[in-house]
Amino acid sequence: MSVAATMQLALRDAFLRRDSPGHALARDSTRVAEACQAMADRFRRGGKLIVFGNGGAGADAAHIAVEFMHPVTVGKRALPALALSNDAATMTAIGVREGLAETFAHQLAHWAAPHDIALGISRDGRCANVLRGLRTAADRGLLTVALLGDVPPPPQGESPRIDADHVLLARSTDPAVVKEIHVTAYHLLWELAHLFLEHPAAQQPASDTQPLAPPHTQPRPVTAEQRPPACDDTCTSCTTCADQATPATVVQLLHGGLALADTGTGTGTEEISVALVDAAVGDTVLVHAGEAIAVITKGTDHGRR
Amino acid sequence: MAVVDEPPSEEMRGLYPFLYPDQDHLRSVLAEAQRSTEAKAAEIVRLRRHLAELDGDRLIACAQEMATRFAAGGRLFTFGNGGSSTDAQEVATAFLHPDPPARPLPALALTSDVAVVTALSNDVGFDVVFARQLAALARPGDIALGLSTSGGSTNVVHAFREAARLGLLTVGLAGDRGGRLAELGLLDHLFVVPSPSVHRIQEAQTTLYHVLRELTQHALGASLPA
Repeated sequence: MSVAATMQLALRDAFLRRDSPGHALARDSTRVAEACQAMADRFRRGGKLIVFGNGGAGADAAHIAVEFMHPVTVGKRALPALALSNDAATMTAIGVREGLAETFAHQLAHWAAPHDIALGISRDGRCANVLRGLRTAADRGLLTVALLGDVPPPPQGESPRIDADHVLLARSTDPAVVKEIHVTAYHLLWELAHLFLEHPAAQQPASDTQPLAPPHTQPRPVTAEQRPPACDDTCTSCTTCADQATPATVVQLLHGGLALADTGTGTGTEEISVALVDAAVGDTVLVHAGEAIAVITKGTDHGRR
Repeated sequence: MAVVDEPPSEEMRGLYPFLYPDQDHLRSVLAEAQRSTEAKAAEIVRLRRHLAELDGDRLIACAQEMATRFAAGGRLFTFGNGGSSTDAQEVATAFLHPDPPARPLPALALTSDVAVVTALSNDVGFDVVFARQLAALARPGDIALGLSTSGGSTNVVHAFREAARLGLLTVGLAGDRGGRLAELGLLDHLFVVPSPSVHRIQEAQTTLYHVLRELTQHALGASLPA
């Protein structure tokens, strides 16, 4: 067979291998929705998201953290998240003294609070440090979520125990395809965590032992008019797809680096953060994800900061 | 607290409304979340199939040129911002440390060294963070692979200008209509994911670079994964 013909076969095989796992994610929609509901509940209580994985999954951990911290969609607030695999100094320091298996567990033991979320990623489901991290997180009372792949265990090997409240499984044995399904899955985790946060009634029953969220992490009430339209197949300007900042005029400065601003959309004022800029009443600021990132024009009314 | 089987009285609900969330509302939000999951999963499957038709032959041509460069001692440099920076790292790791029997190939992500990235950003400007690294590290015969969901990232555009000047093979992954990367007209290979969604673009780009890597290995003579 000619090289051109085998390349064509390889190409067709590569794309075909992705179809079935892609459809399988749709069938797991209940699991995805339940995980997002539980995550929203933790964010509502002031929890943060802690993500970890090895190799390419470590890059996914960083992607997830930036997804939550700096949303691509205008009007979505930043949610606290960090990836444990980014700091090479910490990773190698723990690895060389306590061993690679402790790299995430050690950081979780010193960083995590009981109302946080631990999200571990392992494409073959057998990464010792990810499993140790999830176990440590579960012991400390964190919500635990695992993104895994369907890579079979070695012939004599045992499938390790997974300590996770929510397991999302990419149904492929090819680690590259597992990653691709994971990317869609974590984009959904982000999108739907916000969906649950924006519906105040969609929370699990409260208990009197739960910590109160600090004021800046309390979700803002969203009216039906402010709610973004749901995205469907015909949607070309989906709210999760826009990546732009919008101008807004500061109407009133509030405590804690917050302000009321008029976005000019006719929906009244919106609470934004002006902690990063030197904004006064009357100024027009550029707002991305609820955060003013620049002052465009200074207004004439210089109110108290 | 005692376990009570009977439904709560109106008085009890009135006193502690937060204990009894609106179950109908909760069910409708859960249903909306499930619908969204199903719609997005179907959307990316369709988009991947469309890309196989749209870009199949061009992916093969690109992989063959990358294989030729690697075979002659070329190295791969990858770059992007935000989520795309993590893709740049994924690409570098996937080429440098692949699953057997694929051959390890020299690859470096220009986003990983925080000291270099912050030094260049602070002293010169963020627009040159990738271009300056290429100027110092790259040589003719190497490969530059940059990702931008919008196609408009200035530092990615600068990097490709520098790469083209140095004689590198240039491979761009963009989205929507390709933005400035499409307007540049100097890339050897540009793959544009035709979607208005940043998320679907990123997901489809992940497939594009995985297929490129697999085809490059195939062209180099390694066997396919089972």
